[in-house]
Amino acid sequence: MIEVNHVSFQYGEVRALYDVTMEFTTGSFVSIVGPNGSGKTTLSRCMAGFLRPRSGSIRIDGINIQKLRPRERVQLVGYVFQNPDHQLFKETVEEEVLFGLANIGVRGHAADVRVTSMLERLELDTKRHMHPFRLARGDRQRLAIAAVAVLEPRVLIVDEPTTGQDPVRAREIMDVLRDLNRGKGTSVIVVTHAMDLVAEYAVSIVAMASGTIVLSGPARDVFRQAARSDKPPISPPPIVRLGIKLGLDPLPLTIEEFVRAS
Amino acid sequence: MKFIYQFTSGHSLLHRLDPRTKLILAAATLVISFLTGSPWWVLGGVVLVIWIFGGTSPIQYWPVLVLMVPLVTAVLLVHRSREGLEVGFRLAAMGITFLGFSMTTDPFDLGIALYYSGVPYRVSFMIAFALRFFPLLHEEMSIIRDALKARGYQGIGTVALTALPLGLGALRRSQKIALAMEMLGFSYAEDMAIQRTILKDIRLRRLDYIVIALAIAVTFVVGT
Repeated sequence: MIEVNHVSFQYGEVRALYDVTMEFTTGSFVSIVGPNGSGKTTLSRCMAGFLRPRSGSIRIDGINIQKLRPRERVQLVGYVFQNPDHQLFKETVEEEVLFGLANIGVRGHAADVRVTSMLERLELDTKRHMHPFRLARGDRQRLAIAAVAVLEPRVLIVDEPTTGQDPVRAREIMDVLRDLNRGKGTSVIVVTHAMDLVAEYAVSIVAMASGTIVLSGPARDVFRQAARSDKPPISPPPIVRLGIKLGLDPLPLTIEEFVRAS
Repeated sequence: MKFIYQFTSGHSLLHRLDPRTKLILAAATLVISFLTGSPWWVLGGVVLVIWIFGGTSPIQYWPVLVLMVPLVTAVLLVHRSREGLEVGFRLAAMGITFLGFSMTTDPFDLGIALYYSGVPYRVSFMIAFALRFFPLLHEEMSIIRDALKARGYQGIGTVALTALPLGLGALRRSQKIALAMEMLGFSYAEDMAIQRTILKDIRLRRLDYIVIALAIAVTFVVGT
Protein backbone atom coordinates (compact mmCIF):
# COMPACT_ATOMS: atom_id res chain seq x y z
CA MET A 1 0.00 0.00 0.00
CA ILE A 2 1.26 3.46 -0.95
CA GLU A 3 -0.20 6.20 1.22
CA VAL A 4 0.36 9.91 0.71
CA ASN A 5 -1.23 11.79 3.60
CA HIS A 6 -1.81 15.54 3.50
CA VAL A 7 1.55 16.31 1.92
CA SER A 8 2.52 19.94 1.32
CA PHE A 9 5.78 21.23 -0.08
CA GLN A 10 7.26 24.63 -0.91
CA TYR A 11 10.33 25.77 -2.87
CA GLY A 12 11.20 28.87 -0.85
CA GLU A 13 8.11 31.04 -1.14
CA VAL A 14 6.64 29.07 -4.03
CA ARG A 15 3.99 26.52 -3.08
CA ALA A 16 4.48 23.34 -5.11
CA LEU A 17 2.18 20.88 -3.31
CA TYR A 18 -0.80 21.60 -1.12
CA ASP A 19 -2.46 18.99 1.08
CA VAL A 20 -2.03 16.10 -1.35
CA THR A 21 -3.62 12.85 -0.23
CA MET A 22 -3.83 9.63 -2.24
CA GLU A 23 -3.63 5.89 -1.77
CA PHE A 24 -2.79 2.96 -4.02
CA THR A 25 -2.70 -0.75 -3.52
CA THR A 26 0.51 -2.68 -4.10
CA GLY A 27 0.97 -3.74 -7.70
CA SER A 28 -0.79 -0.71 -9.19
CA PHE A 29 0.19 0.94 -12.47
CA VAL A 30 -0.45 4.63 -11.94
CA SER A 31 0.14 7.67 -14.12
CA ILE A 32 0.56 11.10 -12.60
CA VAL A 33 -0.46 13.65 -15.22
CA GLY A 34 -1.05 17.38 -15.40
CA PRO A 35 0.27 20.56 -16.97
CA ASN A 36 3.82 21.84 -16.43
CA GLY A 37 4.32 23.19 -12.92
CA SER A 38 1.35 21.26 -11.53
CA GLY A 39 3.53 19.49 -8.95
CA LYS A 40 3.87 16.06 -10.57
CA THR A 41 7.64 15.81 -10.29
CA THR A 42 7.70 17.40 -6.83
CA LEU A 43 5.16 14.84 -5.60
CA SER A 44 7.11 11.98 -7.14
CA ARG A 45 10.37 13.23 -5.57
CA CYS A 46 8.68 13.50 -2.19
CA MET A 47 7.46 9.92 -2.63
CA ALA A 48 11.02 8.83 -3.45
CA GLY A 49 12.33 10.56 -0.32
CA PHE A 50 14.49 13.13 -2.14
CA LEU A 51 12.37 16.01 -0.92
CA ARG A 52 11.12 16.31 2.63
CA PRO A 53 7.50 17.52 2.72
CA ARG A 54 6.78 20.59 4.80
CA SER A 55 3.88 18.65 6.31
CA GLY A 56 2.23 15.28 5.90
CA SER A 57 3.68 11.83 5.50
CA ILE A 58 4.35 9.20 2.85
CA ARG A 59 4.18 5.53 3.75
CA ILE A 60 4.88 2.49 1.66
CA ASP A 61 3.59 -0.72 3.16
CA GLY A 62 3.28 1.14 6.44
CA ILE A 63 6.88 2.39 6.47
CA ASN A 64 7.46 6.15 6.60
CA ILE A 65 10.01 6.61 3.81
CA GLN A 66 11.32 9.89 5.25
CA LYS A 67 12.71 7.99 8.21
CA LEU A 68 14.84 5.68 6.08
CA ARG A 69 18.40 6.23 4.91
CA PRO A 70 18.96 6.11 1.11
CA ARG A 71 20.45 2.61 1.28
CA GLU A 72 17.41 1.31 3.15
CA ARG A 73 15.00 3.22 0.92
CA VAL A 74 16.10 1.82 -2.46
CA GLN A 75 14.46 -1.56 -1.94
CA LEU A 76 11.23 0.11 -0.97
CA VAL A 77 11.06 2.82 -3.64
CA GLY A 78 13.10 3.25 -6.81
CA TYR A 79 13.25 6.43 -8.85
CA VAL A 80 14.25 6.84 -12.49
CA PHE A 81 14.97 10.43 -13.48
CA GLN A 82 13.79 12.01 -16.72
CA ASN A 83 17.25 12.43 -18.22
CA PRO A 84 19.13 9.11 -18.39
CA ASP A 85 22.43 10.96 -18.69
CA HIS A 86 22.05 12.19 -15.11
CA GLN A 87 22.09 8.66 -13.74
CA LEU A 88 24.78 6.75 -15.61
CA PHE A 89 28.05 6.53 -13.72
CA LYS A 90 29.96 3.47 -14.86
CA GLU A 91 32.15 2.36 -17.77
CA THR A 92 29.98 -0.47 -19.10
CA VAL A 93 26.30 -1.33 -19.24
CA GLU A 94 26.91 -4.36 -17.03
CA GLU A 95 28.78 -2.36 -14.37
CA GLU A 96 26.02 0.22 -14.44
CA VAL A 97 23.38 -2.33 -13.51
CA LEU A 98 25.70 -3.95 -10.97
CA PHE A 99 26.49 -0.62 -9.27
CA GLY A 100 23.29 -0.35 -7.24
CA LEU A 101 23.42 -4.00 -6.20
CA ALA A 102 26.97 -3.59 -4.92
CA ASN A 103 25.85 -0.55 -2.93
CA ILE A 104 23.20 -2.54 -1.08
CA GLY A 105 25.54 -5.46 -0.48
CA VAL A 106 24.37 -7.92 -3.17
CA ARG A 107 27.52 -9.41 -4.70
CA GLY A 108 28.89 -12.48 -6.43
CA HIS A 109 26.67 -15.06 -8.13
CA ALA A 110 23.42 -13.57 -6.82
CA ALA A 111 24.30 -10.20 -8.30
CA ASP A 112 25.38 -11.71 -11.64
CA VAL A 113 22.09 -13.59 -11.95
CA ARG A 114 20.03 -10.45 -11.28
CA VAL A 115 22.11 -8.35 -13.68
CA THR A 116 21.86 -10.90 -16.50
CA SER A 117 18.15 -11.38 -15.94
CA MET A 118 17.50 -7.63 -15.99
CA LEU A 119 19.65 -7.03 -19.09
CA GLU A 120 17.82 -9.82 -20.93
CA ARG A 121 14.43 -8.52 -19.82
CA LEU A 122 15.27 -5.07 -21.17
CA GLU A 123 17.04 -6.42 -24.28
CA LEU A 124 20.36 -4.91 -23.33
CA ASP A 125 22.29 -8.16 -22.89
CA THR A 126 24.01 -7.87 -26.28
CA LYS A 127 25.30 -4.42 -25.27
CA ARG A 128 26.51 -5.33 -21.79
CA HIS A 129 30.16 -4.42 -22.50
CA MET A 130 29.40 -1.11 -24.22
CA HIS A 131 29.96 2.27 -22.57
CA PRO A 132 26.55 3.61 -21.45
CA PHE A 133 27.15 6.94 -23.17
CA ARG A 134 27.66 5.15 -26.50
CA LEU A 135 24.11 3.77 -26.41
CA ALA A 136 21.21 5.37 -28.29
CA ARG A 137 18.95 7.58 -26.17
CA GLY A 138 16.21 4.94 -25.97
CA ASP A 139 18.72 2.33 -24.82
CA ARG A 140 20.14 4.74 -22.23
CA GLN A 141 16.63 5.29 -20.89
CA ARG A 142 16.07 1.54 -20.67
CA LEU A 143 19.44 1.14 -18.99
CA ALA A 144 18.51 3.80 -16.43
CA ILE A 145 15.31 1.85 -15.70
CA ALA A 146 17.25 -1.44 -15.51
CA ALA A 147 19.80 0.04 -13.10
CA VAL A 148 17.04 0.97 -10.64
CA ALA A 149 14.65 -1.93 -11.31
CA VAL A 150 17.42 -4.48 -10.60
CA LEU A 151 17.26 -3.37 -6.96
CA GLU A 152 13.71 -4.80 -6.99
CA PRO A 153 11.98 -1.90 -5.25
CA ARG A 154 8.37 -2.45 -4.23
CA VAL A 155 7.47 0.84 -5.93
CA LEU A 156 9.16 2.13 -9.08
CA ILE A 157 8.64 5.81 -9.91
CA VAL A 158 9.62 6.87 -13.43
CA ASP A 159 9.72 10.54 -14.37
CA GLU A 160 8.72 11.26 -17.98
CA PRO A 161 10.40 8.16 -19.45
CA THR A 162 9.18 8.73 -23.01
CA THR A 163 10.18 12.38 -23.46
CA GLY A 164 12.22 12.76 -26.64
CA GLN A 165 11.55 9.18 -27.75
CA ASP A 166 9.97 8.19 -31.03
CA PRO A 167 6.59 6.39 -30.70
CA VAL A 168 8.11 2.92 -31.15
CA ARG A 169 10.79 3.49 -28.48
CA ALA A 170 8.24 5.12 -26.18
CA ARG A 171 6.05 2.01 -26.39
CA GLU A 172 9.07 -0.24 -25.79
CA ILE A 173 9.83 1.66 -22.60
CA MET A 174 6.22 1.48 -21.44
CA ASP A 175 6.19 -2.27 -22.27
CA VAL A 176 9.23 -2.70 -20.02
CA LEU A 177 7.42 -0.93 -17.19
CA ARG A 178 4.30 -3.03 -17.73
CA ASP A 179 6.41 -6.21 -17.70
CA LEU A 180 7.95 -5.18 -14.38
CA ASN A 181 4.49 -4.40 -13.04
CA ARG A 182 2.89 -7.65 -14.18
CA GLY A 183 5.87 -9.97 -13.94
CA LYS A 184 7.37 -8.88 -10.65
CA GLY A 185 4.37 -7.23 -9.06
CA THR A 186 6.25 -3.95 -8.79
CA SER A 187 3.98 -0.95 -8.29
CA VAL A 188 4.79 1.47 -11.12
CA ILE A 189 4.14 5.20 -10.99
CA VAL A 190 4.81 7.03 -14.25
CA VAL A 191 4.93 10.82 -14.44
CA THR A 192 4.13 11.76 -18.01
CA HIS A 193 2.46 14.07 -20.51
CA ALA A 194 1.92 11.34 -23.12
CA MET A 195 -1.83 10.86 -22.77
CA ASP A 196 -2.08 8.19 -25.47
CA LEU A 197 0.39 6.05 -23.51
CA VAL A 198 -1.42 6.80 -20.26
CA ALA A 199 -4.66 5.58 -21.81
CA GLU A 200 -2.98 2.44 -23.13
CA TYR A 201 -0.93 1.44 -20.10
CA ALA A 202 -2.13 3.06 -16.87
CA VAL A 203 -4.71 1.37 -14.70
CA SER A 204 -5.18 4.45 -12.52
CA ILE A 205 -4.61 8.14 -13.17
CA VAL A 206 -3.85 11.00 -10.81
CA ALA A 207 -4.41 14.38 -12.48
CA MET A 208 -2.75 17.37 -10.83
CA ALA A 209 -3.09 21.13 -11.22
CA SER A 210 -1.54 23.93 -9.16
CA GLY A 211 -0.06 21.55 -6.59
CA THR A 212 -3.24 19.63 -5.81
CA ILE A 213 -4.95 16.49 -7.06
CA VAL A 214 -7.96 17.47 -9.15
CA LEU A 215 -8.95 14.06 -10.48
CA SER A 216 -7.99 10.51 -9.57
CA GLY A 217 -9.23 7.01 -10.07
CA PRO A 218 -9.45 4.34 -12.78
CA ALA A 219 -8.29 5.63 -16.19
CA ARG A 220 -11.76 5.46 -17.79
CA ASP A 221 -13.42 7.38 -14.96
CA VAL A 222 -10.76 10.10 -14.97
CA PHE A 223 -11.01 10.59 -18.73
CA ARG A 224 -14.81 10.79 -18.53
CA GLN A 225 -14.64 13.36 -15.72
CA ALA A 226 -11.99 15.36 -17.62
CA ALA A 227 -14.17 15.39 -20.72
CA ARG A 228 -17.11 16.73 -18.69
CA SER A 229 -15.02 19.45 -17.01
CA ASP A 230 -15.14 23.07 -18.25
CA LYS A 231 -11.42 23.47 -17.57
CA PRO A 232 -10.02 19.95 -17.86
CA PRO A 233 -6.58 19.53 -16.27
CA ILE A 234 -5.79 16.89 -18.89
CA SER A 235 -6.78 16.34 -22.46
CA PRO A 236 -7.85 12.73 -23.14
CA PRO A 237 -6.36 11.25 -26.31
CA PRO A 238 -8.45 11.61 -29.51
CA ILE A 239 -9.66 7.99 -29.52
CA VAL A 240 -10.99 8.39 -25.98
CA ARG A 241 -12.66 11.72 -26.84
CA LEU A 242 -14.28 10.08 -29.86
CA GLY A 243 -15.50 7.22 -27.67
CA ILE A 244 -17.03 9.73 -25.24
CA LYS A 245 -18.71 11.65 -28.08
CA LEU A 246 -20.20 8.41 -29.42
CA GLY A 247 -21.32 7.42 -25.93
CA LEU A 248 -19.47 4.10 -26.03
CA ASP A 249 -19.60 2.00 -22.90
CA PRO A 250 -17.17 0.72 -21.74
CA LEU A 251 -15.12 3.67 -22.87
CA PRO A 252 -12.39 2.52 -25.27
CA LEU A 253 -8.87 3.60 -24.31
CA THR A 254 -7.07 2.29 -27.39
CA ILE A 255 -7.80 1.94 -31.10
CA GLU A 256 -8.17 -1.83 -30.65
CA GLU A 257 -10.74 -1.34 -27.89
CA PHE A 258 -12.54 1.23 -30.03
CA VAL A 259 -12.75 -1.16 -32.97
CA ARG A 260 -14.11 -3.89 -30.70
CA ALA A 261 -16.61 -1.52 -29.05
CA SER A 262 -17.98 -0.12 -32.29
CA MET B 1 14.32 25.85 -8.21
CA LYS B 2 16.09 29.10 -7.36
CA PHE B 3 19.36 29.20 -5.47
CA ILE B 4 20.17 31.85 -2.88
CA TYR B 5 23.04 33.33 -4.89
CA GLN B 6 20.99 33.72 -8.07
CA PHE B 7 20.18 37.16 -9.42
CA THR B 8 16.71 38.47 -8.61
CA SER B 9 15.60 41.56 -10.49
CA GLY B 10 14.76 44.61 -8.38
CA HIS B 11 14.90 48.38 -8.19
CA SER B 12 17.13 48.82 -5.14
CA LEU B 13 20.20 51.04 -5.23
CA LEU B 14 22.49 48.03 -5.58
CA HIS B 15 20.36 46.69 -8.44
CA ARG B 16 20.58 50.04 -10.24
CA LEU B 17 24.36 50.38 -9.97
CA ASP B 18 26.57 49.53 -12.93
CA PRO B 19 28.18 46.09 -12.40
CA ARG B 20 31.63 47.74 -12.61
CA THR B 21 30.71 49.98 -9.67
CA LYS B 22 29.68 46.93 -7.68
CA LEU B 23 32.96 45.24 -8.55
CA ILE B 24 34.86 48.30 -7.29
CA LEU B 25 32.66 48.31 -4.18
CA ALA B 26 33.43 44.63 -3.61
CA ALA B 27 37.15 45.22 -4.11
CA ALA B 28 37.04 48.13 -1.66
CA THR B 29 35.27 45.94 0.90
CA LEU B 30 37.98 43.31 0.56
CA VAL B 31 40.75 45.87 0.97
CA ILE B 32 38.98 47.40 4.01
CA SER B 33 38.56 43.97 5.61
CA PHE B 34 42.32 43.45 5.31
CA LEU B 35 43.22 46.95 6.52
CA THR B 36 41.06 46.87 9.63
CA GLY B 37 41.81 44.88 12.74
CA SER B 38 38.12 44.38 13.38
CA PRO B 39 36.77 42.66 10.23
CA TRP B 40 33.54 41.63 12.07
CA TRP B 41 32.40 45.21 11.61
CA VAL B 42 33.03 44.83 7.89
CA LEU B 43 30.91 41.67 7.82
CA GLY B 44 28.16 43.45 9.74
CA GLY B 45 28.44 46.44 7.40
CA VAL B 46 28.16 44.25 4.29
CA VAL B 47 25.04 42.54 5.67
CA LEU B 48 23.52 45.97 6.44
CA VAL B 49 24.40 47.38 2.99
CA ILE B 50 22.83 44.37 1.26
CA TRP B 51 19.77 44.77 3.49
CA ILE B 52 19.31 48.53 3.23
CA PHE B 53 20.60 49.24 -0.28
CA GLY B 54 19.99 45.85 -1.89
CA GLY B 55 16.53 45.16 -0.46
CA THR B 56 17.64 41.69 0.68
CA SER B 57 17.31 40.87 4.36
CA PRO B 58 19.71 38.40 6.01
CA ILE B 59 16.73 36.06 6.50
CA GLN B 60 16.68 35.52 2.74
CA TYR B 61 20.22 34.11 2.80
CA TRP B 62 20.42 32.75 6.34
CA PRO B 63 21.76 29.33 5.24
CA VAL B 64 24.87 31.07 3.87
CA LEU B 65 25.33 32.99 7.13
CA VAL B 66 24.98 29.74 9.06
CA LEU B 67 27.59 28.16 6.75
CA MET B 68 30.01 30.91 7.76
CA VAL B 69 29.98 29.71 11.39
CA PRO B 70 31.94 26.46 10.76
CA LEU B 71 34.21 28.35 8.35
CA VAL B 72 35.15 30.99 10.94
CA THR B 73 35.40 28.32 13.65
CA ALA B 74 37.69 26.15 11.51
CA VAL B 75 40.05 29.04 10.77
CA LEU B 76 40.02 30.02 14.45
CA LEU B 77 40.85 26.46 15.49
CA VAL B 78 43.75 26.30 13.01
CA HIS B 79 45.28 29.59 14.18
CA ARG B 80 44.15 29.44 17.83
CA SER B 81 44.51 33.22 18.17
CA ARG B 82 42.75 36.52 17.55
CA GLU B 83 44.42 36.58 14.11
CA GLY B 84 42.60 33.37 13.27
CA LEU B 85 39.29 34.94 14.20
CA GLU B 86 40.15 37.96 12.04
CA VAL B 87 41.04 35.77 9.04
CA GLY B 88 37.80 33.83 9.47
CA PHE B 89 35.71 37.00 9.54
CA ARG B 90 37.60 38.40 6.52
CA LEU B 91 36.72 35.25 4.54
CA ALA B 92 33.12 35.51 5.69
CA ALA B 93 32.98 39.20 4.69
CA MET B 94 34.36 38.31 1.24
CA GLY B 95 31.82 35.51 0.83
CA ILE B 96 28.85 37.69 1.76
CA THR B 97 30.17 40.54 -0.43
CA PHE B 98 30.23 38.33 -3.51
CA LEU B 99 26.87 36.86 -2.53
CA GLY B 100 25.45 40.40 -2.49
CA PHE B 101 27.07 41.04 -5.88
CA SER B 102 25.61 37.92 -7.49
CA MET B 103 22.16 38.46 -5.95
CA THR B 104 21.87 41.98 -7.37
CA THR B 105 23.73 41.68 -10.69
CA ASP B 106 22.34 40.22 -13.88
CA PRO B 107 25.19 38.13 -15.34
CA PHE B 108 24.51 39.52 -18.82
CA ASP B 109 24.72 43.11 -17.48
CA LEU B 110 28.13 42.18 -16.13
CA GLY B 111 29.11 40.79 -19.54
CA ILE B 112 28.04 44.00 -21.28
CA ALA B 113 29.85 46.15 -18.69
CA LEU B 114 33.03 44.12 -19.20
CA TYR B 115 32.69 44.50 -22.97
CA TYR B 116 32.35 48.29 -22.60
CA SER B 117 35.47 48.21 -20.44
CA GLY B 118 37.50 46.75 -23.28
CA VAL B 119 37.21 43.04 -22.62
CA PRO B 120 36.72 41.21 -25.97
CA TYR B 121 33.05 40.35 -26.57
CA ARG B 122 33.70 36.63 -26.74
CA VAL B 123 35.43 36.67 -23.36
CA SER B 124 32.88 38.92 -21.65
CA PHE B 125 30.00 36.88 -23.07
CA MET B 126 31.69 33.68 -21.93
CA ILE B 127 32.00 35.05 -18.37
CA ALA B 128 28.35 36.15 -18.36
CA PHE B 129 27.24 32.85 -19.79
CA ALA B 130 29.24 30.83 -17.26
CA LEU B 131 27.63 32.80 -14.41
CA ARG B 132 24.20 32.43 -15.97
CA PHE B 133 24.57 28.68 -16.32
CA PHE B 134 26.20 27.99 -12.98
CA PRO B 135 22.81 27.59 -11.21
CA LEU B 136 21.75 25.15 -13.93
CA LEU B 137 24.86 23.05 -13.29
CA HIS B 138 24.18 23.30 -9.57
CA GLU B 139 20.65 21.98 -10.11
CA GLU B 140 21.95 19.16 -12.29
CA MET B 141 24.45 18.28 -9.60
CA SER B 142 21.61 17.96 -7.08
CA ILE B 143 19.73 15.66 -9.48
CA ILE B 144 22.83 13.51 -10.04
CA ARG B 145 23.39 13.23 -6.29
CA ASP B 146 19.77 12.16 -5.87
CA ALA B 147 20.31 9.64 -8.68
CA LEU B 148 23.24 8.22 -6.70
CA LYS B 149 21.02 7.98 -3.63
CA ALA B 150 18.43 6.19 -5.78
CA ARG B 151 21.09 3.55 -6.39
CA GLY B 152 21.85 3.24 -2.69
CA TYR B 153 25.17 5.08 -2.90
CA GLN B 154 26.33 7.06 0.08
CA GLY B 155 30.01 7.77 0.29
CA ILE B 156 32.95 10.05 -0.14
CA GLY B 157 33.18 9.17 -3.84
CA THR B 158 30.02 11.16 -4.62
CA VAL B 159 31.98 14.08 -6.07
CA ALA B 160 34.05 11.83 -8.35
CA LEU B 161 31.00 9.89 -9.52
CA THR B 162 29.09 13.11 -10.16
CA ALA B 163 31.86 14.48 -12.38
CA LEU B 164 31.24 12.16 -15.37
CA PRO B 165 27.52 12.80 -15.97
CA LEU B 166 27.85 16.45 -14.99
CA GLY B 167 30.86 17.05 -17.25
CA LEU B 168 29.42 15.18 -20.22
CA GLY B 169 26.10 16.98 -19.83
CA ALA B 170 27.85 20.35 -19.73
CA LEU B 171 29.89 19.48 -22.84
CA ARG B 172 26.81 18.36 -24.75
CA ARG B 173 24.88 21.45 -23.75
CA SER B 174 27.73 23.84 -24.57
CA GLN B 175 28.07 22.32 -28.05
CA LYS B 176 24.37 22.79 -28.70
CA ILE B 177 24.39 26.35 -27.35
CA ALA B 178 27.48 27.26 -29.40
CA LEU B 179 25.78 25.99 -32.55
CA ALA B 180 22.55 27.84 -31.73
CA MET B 181 24.48 31.05 -31.10
CA GLU B 182 26.34 30.78 -34.40
CA MET B 183 22.97 30.31 -36.10
CA LEU B 184 21.95 33.62 -34.49
CA GLY B 185 25.02 35.36 -35.89
CA PHE B 186 27.15 35.47 -32.73
CA SER B 187 30.42 35.91 -34.64
CA TYR B 188 28.99 38.08 -37.40
CA ALA B 189 30.13 41.47 -36.06
CA GLU B 190 33.73 40.33 -35.54
CA ASP B 191 33.88 38.34 -38.79
CA MET B 192 32.55 41.26 -40.84
CA ALA B 193 34.55 43.86 -38.86
CA ILE B 194 31.47 45.90 -38.04
CA GLN B 195 30.46 47.62 -34.79
CA ARG B 196 28.40 45.38 -32.50
CA THR B 197 25.34 47.08 -31.05
CA ILE B 198 23.99 46.39 -27.57
CA LEU B 199 20.33 46.84 -26.74
CA LYS B 200 20.73 47.29 -22.99
CA ASP B 201 21.84 50.68 -21.69
CA ILE B 202 24.64 49.83 -19.27
CA ARG B 203 26.80 52.80 -18.33
CA LEU B 204 28.32 54.59 -15.38
CA ARG B 205 25.93 57.27 -14.12
CA ARG B 206 26.24 60.01 -11.50
CA LEU B 207 25.13 57.60 -8.77
CA ASP B 208 27.92 55.20 -9.78
CA TYR B 209 30.57 57.92 -9.57
CA ILE B 210 29.29 58.97 -6.12
CA VAL B 211 29.42 55.36 -4.85
CA ILE B 212 32.91 54.82 -6.32
CA ALA B 213 34.14 58.07 -4.71
CA LEU B 214 32.64 57.04 -1.36
CA ALA B 215 34.19 53.55 -1.58
CA ILE B 216 37.63 55.03 -2.29
CA ALA B 217 37.24 57.60 0.49
CA VAL B 218 36.21 55.03 3.09
CA THR B 219 39.07 52.72 2.03
CA PHE B 220 41.51 55.63 2.34
CA VAL B 221 40.17 56.63 5.79
CA VAL B 222 40.39 53.05 7.09
CA GLY B 223 43.88 52.69 5.59
CA THR B 224 45.20 55.77 7.33
